[in-house]
Amino acid sequence: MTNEVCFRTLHLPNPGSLETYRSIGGYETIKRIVTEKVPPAEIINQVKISSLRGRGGAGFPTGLKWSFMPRFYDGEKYIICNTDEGEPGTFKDRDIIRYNPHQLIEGMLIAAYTVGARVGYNYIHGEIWAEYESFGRALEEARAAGYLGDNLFGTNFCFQLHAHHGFGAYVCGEETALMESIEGKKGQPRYKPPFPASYGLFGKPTNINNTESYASIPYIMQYGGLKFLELGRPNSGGTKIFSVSGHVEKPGNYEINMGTPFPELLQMAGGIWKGRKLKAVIPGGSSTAVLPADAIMGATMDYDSISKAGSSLGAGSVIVIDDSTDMVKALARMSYFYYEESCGQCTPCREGTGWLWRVVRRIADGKGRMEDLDLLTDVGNNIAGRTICALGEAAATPVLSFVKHFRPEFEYYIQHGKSMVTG
Amino acid sequence: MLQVEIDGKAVEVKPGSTIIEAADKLGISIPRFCYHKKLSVAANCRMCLVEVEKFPKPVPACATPVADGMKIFTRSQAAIAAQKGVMEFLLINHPLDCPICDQGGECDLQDIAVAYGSDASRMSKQSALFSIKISGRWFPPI
Repeated sequence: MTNEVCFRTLHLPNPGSLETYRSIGGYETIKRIVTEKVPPAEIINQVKISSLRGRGGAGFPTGLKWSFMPRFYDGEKYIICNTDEGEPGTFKDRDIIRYNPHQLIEGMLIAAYTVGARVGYNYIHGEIWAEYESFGRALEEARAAGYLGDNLFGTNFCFQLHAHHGFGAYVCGEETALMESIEGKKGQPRYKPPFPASYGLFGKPTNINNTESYASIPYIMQYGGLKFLELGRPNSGGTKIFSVSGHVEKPGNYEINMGTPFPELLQMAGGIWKGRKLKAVIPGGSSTAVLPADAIMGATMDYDSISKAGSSLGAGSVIVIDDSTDMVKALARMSYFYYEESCGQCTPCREGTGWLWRVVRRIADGKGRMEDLDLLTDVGNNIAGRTICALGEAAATPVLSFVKHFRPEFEYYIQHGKSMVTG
Repeated sequence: MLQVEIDGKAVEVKPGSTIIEAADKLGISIPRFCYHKKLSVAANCRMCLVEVEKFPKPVPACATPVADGMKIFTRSQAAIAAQKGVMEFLLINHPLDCPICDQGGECDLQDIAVAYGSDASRMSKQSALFSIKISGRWFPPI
């Protein structure tokens, strides 16, 4: 089955409208929760049963994250939705906003009720302006229909949601950099701890989740956590949107059950284009490790299977690479991206990403030296784990995995000054 | 008061103090650039990375609060590797013309580079990213 949770309005006419969402039982769940005064602990318990894991990339259990929020806190609390998807290969959140914004709003309402927040922000990537505007219209619709504002559903539950946009910085997808950005400061990550649940936006306890995580919540609370869990695998419940891009016939977003075998997903996307062969797949966006064809063809698309294969599911951005691809040039482009997007706050990432790019570019220019391959591994290991945020690891992982899996291709480049594949 | 152990030496510190404060109390030197006791903690030079028992990654001593019974190693293999790595990163975009630099001889970077860095960089000369100004002359990137 496809399109069961986040894209469940997609087969209906005008999928993003309020009427369409109401026709499938939209906003009924939050109404029931608020009017029946369901205890927040019960909601957290359902989310824990569903084994929903954060869809932004880290895969942290959402129920556990919600339980970290201080329950008796005297003051404002916030919730934030992270729609700042800047990772190369990721384009799922924009489609949720485009085709099912009200499910996201309802999910945030449920989260706000659970953690006791009265104000929420949806931080939308600065390069998807049309979605930012369409989400603003959806917010107006929801406000007019009485789903956002004060004393909702005749109770004392109040929630106001605001759309906020960035200006396209990749690092602002990191949760604390995103908060700095909303506060109007430079988008640079904070040192953690303290974590957002104790010191977040404007110094207040803040819960931050990915768009897809929030959009899955109404389904979980409507049908129960167990039904959501049964859609997927134990430990990775539910469905997941996979943004398939690269060398396939039909690239796009595919919402499928967790644990679907990779060949099935590849078939859905029309197979490899132009009748070529599969060479490698980056399963979770460019910051996750690349997997050679035989490793990925035996894997199923869930957190455990992909990490067993040697990578991570990340945000589910499957980049398919066919056998005509020059891996050194591909890596040079990716390294340039991380060099360009490093915020420059801490030393290993600021200096190291530029160094990695220079060395990879040198190899791609045909001026590489044999010791460069060990140098790349060493510099990558010197960055990973020594930075404030995960961008350092994101920059090092592709380099380390490309050199590990496609070392002969790099060696050929160094010896012959040209590509093994394209000549 | 909390009991912590740094490089095998025990020390008592107030709750809420950081590793670097505890080390300073003991007289153990941890290299640092961006830390100053009268400024807010930025934790971004990463020079003060140390190893803490049961922590998977090296942690910045300036921003990590101590916990009771914490065992900290400032000169273990992992800590030295981290410090050398950061020192190398810091020097790749820094002009290496100490003999004609006004700060030469009174320079924290020089001192720490001698004490905690490697004797040679693996960064080749030909790959600077930016134009750099040396003795009033601009050298373009190659």
